[in-house]
Amino acid sequence: MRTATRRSPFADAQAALGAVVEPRGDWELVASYGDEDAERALLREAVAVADITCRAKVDVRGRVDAALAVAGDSFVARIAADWALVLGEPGDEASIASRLQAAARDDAMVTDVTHLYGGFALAGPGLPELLARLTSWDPASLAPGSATGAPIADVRMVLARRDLEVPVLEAYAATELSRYAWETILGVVRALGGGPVGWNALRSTGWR
Amino acid sequence: MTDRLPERPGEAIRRDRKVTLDFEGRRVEAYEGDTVGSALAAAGVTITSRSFKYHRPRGLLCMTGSCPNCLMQIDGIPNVRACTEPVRDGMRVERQNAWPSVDRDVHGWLNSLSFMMPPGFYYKVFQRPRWAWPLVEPFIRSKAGLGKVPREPDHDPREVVNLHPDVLVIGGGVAGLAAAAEAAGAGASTVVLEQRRDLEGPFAEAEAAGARVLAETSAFGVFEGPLVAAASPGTLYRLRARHLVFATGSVEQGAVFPNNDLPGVMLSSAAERLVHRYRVRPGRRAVVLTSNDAGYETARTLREAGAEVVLVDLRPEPPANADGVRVIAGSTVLSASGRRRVSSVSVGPPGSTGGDRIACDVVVTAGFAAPSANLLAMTGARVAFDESAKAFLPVELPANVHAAGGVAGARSGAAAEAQGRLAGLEAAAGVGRARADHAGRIAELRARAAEAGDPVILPPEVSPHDGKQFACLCMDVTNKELKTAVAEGFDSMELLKRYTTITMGPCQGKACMLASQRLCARATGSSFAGTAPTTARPPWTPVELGTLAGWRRTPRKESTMHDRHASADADFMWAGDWRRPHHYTDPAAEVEAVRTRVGVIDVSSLGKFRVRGPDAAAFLERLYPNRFADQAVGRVRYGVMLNDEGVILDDGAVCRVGDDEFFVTVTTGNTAALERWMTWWLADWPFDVQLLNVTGAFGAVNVAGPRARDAMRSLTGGDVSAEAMPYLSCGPLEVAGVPAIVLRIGFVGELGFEIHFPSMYGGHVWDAVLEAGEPYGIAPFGLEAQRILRLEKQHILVGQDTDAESDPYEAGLGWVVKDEKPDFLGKRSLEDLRRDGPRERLVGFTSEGEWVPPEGASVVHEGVWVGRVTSSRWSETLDTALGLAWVPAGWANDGTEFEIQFGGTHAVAHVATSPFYDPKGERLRS
Repeated sequence: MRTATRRSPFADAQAALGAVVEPRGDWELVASYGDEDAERALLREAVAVADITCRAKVDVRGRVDAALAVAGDSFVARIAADWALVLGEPGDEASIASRLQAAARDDAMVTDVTHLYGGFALAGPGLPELLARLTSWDPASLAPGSATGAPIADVRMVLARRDLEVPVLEAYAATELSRYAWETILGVVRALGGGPVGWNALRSTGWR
Repeated sequence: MTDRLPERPGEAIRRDRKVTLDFEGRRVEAYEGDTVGSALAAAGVTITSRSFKYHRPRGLLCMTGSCPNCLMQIDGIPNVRACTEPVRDGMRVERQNAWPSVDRDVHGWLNSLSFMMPPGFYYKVFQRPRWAWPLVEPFIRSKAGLGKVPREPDHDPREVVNLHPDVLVIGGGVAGLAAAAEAAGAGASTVVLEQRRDLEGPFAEAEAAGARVLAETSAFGVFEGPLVAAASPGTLYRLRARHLVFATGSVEQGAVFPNNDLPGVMLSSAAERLVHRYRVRPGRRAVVLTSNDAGYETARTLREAGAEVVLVDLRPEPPANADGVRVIAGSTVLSASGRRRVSSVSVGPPGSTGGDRIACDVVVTAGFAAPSANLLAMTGARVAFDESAKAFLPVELPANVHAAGGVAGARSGAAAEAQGRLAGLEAAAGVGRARADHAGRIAELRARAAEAGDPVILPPEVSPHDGKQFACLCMDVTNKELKTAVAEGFDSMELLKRYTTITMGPCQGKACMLASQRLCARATGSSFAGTAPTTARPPWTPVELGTLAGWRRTPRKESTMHDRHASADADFMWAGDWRRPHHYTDPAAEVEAVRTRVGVIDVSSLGKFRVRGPDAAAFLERLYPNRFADQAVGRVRYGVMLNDEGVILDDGAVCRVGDDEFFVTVTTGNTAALERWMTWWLADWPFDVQLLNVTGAFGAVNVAGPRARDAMRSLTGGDVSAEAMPYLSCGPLEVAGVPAIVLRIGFVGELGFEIHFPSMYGGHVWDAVLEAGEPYGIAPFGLEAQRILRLEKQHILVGQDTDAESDPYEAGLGWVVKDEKPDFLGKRSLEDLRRDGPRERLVGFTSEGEWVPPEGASVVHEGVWVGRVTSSRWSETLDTALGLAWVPAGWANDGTEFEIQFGGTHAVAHVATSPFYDPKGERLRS
């Protein structure tokens, strides 16, 4: 029996771009596209997109405060008073979900939604120009560290703004729309002089 | 390049860079920086178009893109404004609406028949006898028009850009750029829209302050929001700003006199641009009509270009210094003459029937303008007549809207700049960016902004001389025609607009609103002040439909096994917004694999919901007509969801996976609608339940066929025997090393295992299933095979076999309705339906012969339509055509013979109320 491996829904498209894949638990994540220096330069000077589908994602609905209080190092994307997405390291979803559910008891429904969403990190100084071509939503309406739901490339996504060394917007689209979203976002990124970057380059911005 | 003036600083052309145009098969040389209009003028082309109705020759009029006179077919695109379109090497330029050519247009005879074509003549003539109009209409249409719509698809890439500045300034003239400089200088994010390509004026200050100046970008509409729409070549801008500054300036207007449309009659903007920017002399003998000092500036320009100039000044006492130019004071142009170009004008006091004839080849009107208030009016701004400006000016602006410059009535550059700076400062303050010296500067600027300009003197509304005096050049409407229309009762601007189409042509009123208002007032006996402009509507400037459409993005849904299907050469089809395999090889072979061995189909597109909470069962009991309260954990029930009218909305599997948790599947195309439906009811009903759409979280495959269990045994260490996992059971099971929920159900009518697993394992699970099934002859099957298989079992597809009136009784699903339940959606309606009895029934049928009646074919009785076929296929397994059809309720008995008709083909069919294949369901339950 082959080993169970998790891959992004558009892993084959990334392979065609020369993705260098590394295992992380049972995930295959794209470490780079062959030239990490060039990817870091894109992040510093232009605009880039990275696949962050492998991130642990836990959905909390209901009376969420008790659950979120034990989120620890995970990033909490609070979308509404009764809805949050807790984002963690690849493979941590089970432990995060069980911790949150224990704290929430019956006040909230905690669901591991790691597989529900494809994830994209849109990053770089060209981010405003990229968003201007992908959405009618006003990015200025989202404060750093906060989250919302908005359409990107005509697809409803959960967005979390993470201004680090460079502006970063995490965008999560339904898994089944992820390949379309990747192609569309990458097309606009390229038109703006940017390109895809891997996990390693993205980490270099301080993103976790 | 016949008539270029000597080179001088500030010209827009690059004489070191030549480009060549293909002008109706002729090579025309131009310089980079030229527009098509200036290049043609330099090449001696006088007639740039033929008019819409009368085919009169027309020439360059404005050089600002504000009139219809130079619309041309350029590189296949109709109605391009040649006067502002930059030249490109090799571009194909053709003039429009003439045959065989614009220079020798045989349709010019229509001009002499204009008495037969009054406004709205097509409403009045050729209407009797009734057969006449269909014959005449194509002829009329062929004689009028605006270019040819290109037949080829337009694949040019278009971009849509959304911007959200604090301050949006529309117009990059003196006022607009001053506003932008102040707003950006105060720290407000500022965008400026300017339709010209090459910016003039103090744009450097605005850009240095941080404003983003979008040149060659025209705002064409203001919508709710407010949303401002603007277009530049290849890009649609959608701008939502917190404050809007309208600095749209004014539009230069011509004068109305006989033959005021002759080539050579132009506005000062055209003369000035031709000379200063493109170094083309508009003519050698010029008459300039004016009522203010602007005309003297134009006269100087023409004289410096080598033309003989005569100034006609409406003022009885013109300024003393005319630089030696002959001035005829207190006079106007009474008429123009010429055939293909103006050759003389008659000049005299307004209203005189005589006049002195002056030979000329160009007539320039200078200094007459109307505020460009259309975009501003789209915000809801109210305008009123201002006597000193002789124009309608904004008097009431919506919140966060500002106006500055010509549109606000400024009549000097200093006033326009002050108004712009004032608007910029106020807009910045409105977004919390007030400068430290805000109050002081505001006071100072207000004083300067109020500076009055010279009094405005407009040319006479009309001349007493004979000849066609055009108010509207776009639609060929004369003063006489407006008068006739008013006499017919169309006695307001709005009625005249609809009847004569004034202000509705390509210029959208830019070149004709002022003249039309004044002529309307004259014809109705009203005053100009009492004749407001027509309602402003988008588009204010022309915009290509392709630009409006923007990008062509079609979001598509794909399973995480999509790449595997593609590698297997699957033919994909749309299923709702999903891309799913239609087939991999041959659908019949895929059916055969499922019926005899084992097949696997990707069913990830099924909608999936997690329903959890103490009231989960109660919620589902209320939502469905089925019973779920007594459903054991680990069991699956077929659920049919109804709306409150008892109509079938959806069907699917409802799996109890815990005491307070259900896993619910719904059909592919209904998922989003049902999520809204369930969420809506959940908000209303007092149930403690959480609902989550987990469609994408789970990939799913259905492994089906007599050898399915064998394949499953290779995939899992769990017990998948009939005893441990009987039909309609469900539960957690590790499959291929992946935690999954497995349902023992069978849509295709065979022993089946529906495996739902975390979707990112999709590729792994698909490969593992194929590997496990390989010894048993497994084959992937697509939607076409699935459709045949389910039809053989008479399993319905909601939405295909049902419609917006189908209830469970008529669809043969009455067994799911538990009417003893106290309440559920549709209960009351179902009681009525049950009482009244079914009118029609959904039944299976087989048809005789080899013809498969297509879906949608009619069921007929004695030639009358009584029903329809909803699904049909050829079954190799049963060697017959079969399907589902709605028939009269009384026919729902095995063997009833009926007729199916489609086009001219008929077939005899027989009702079958039980599944064609495995009617007792033994294979399904095995």
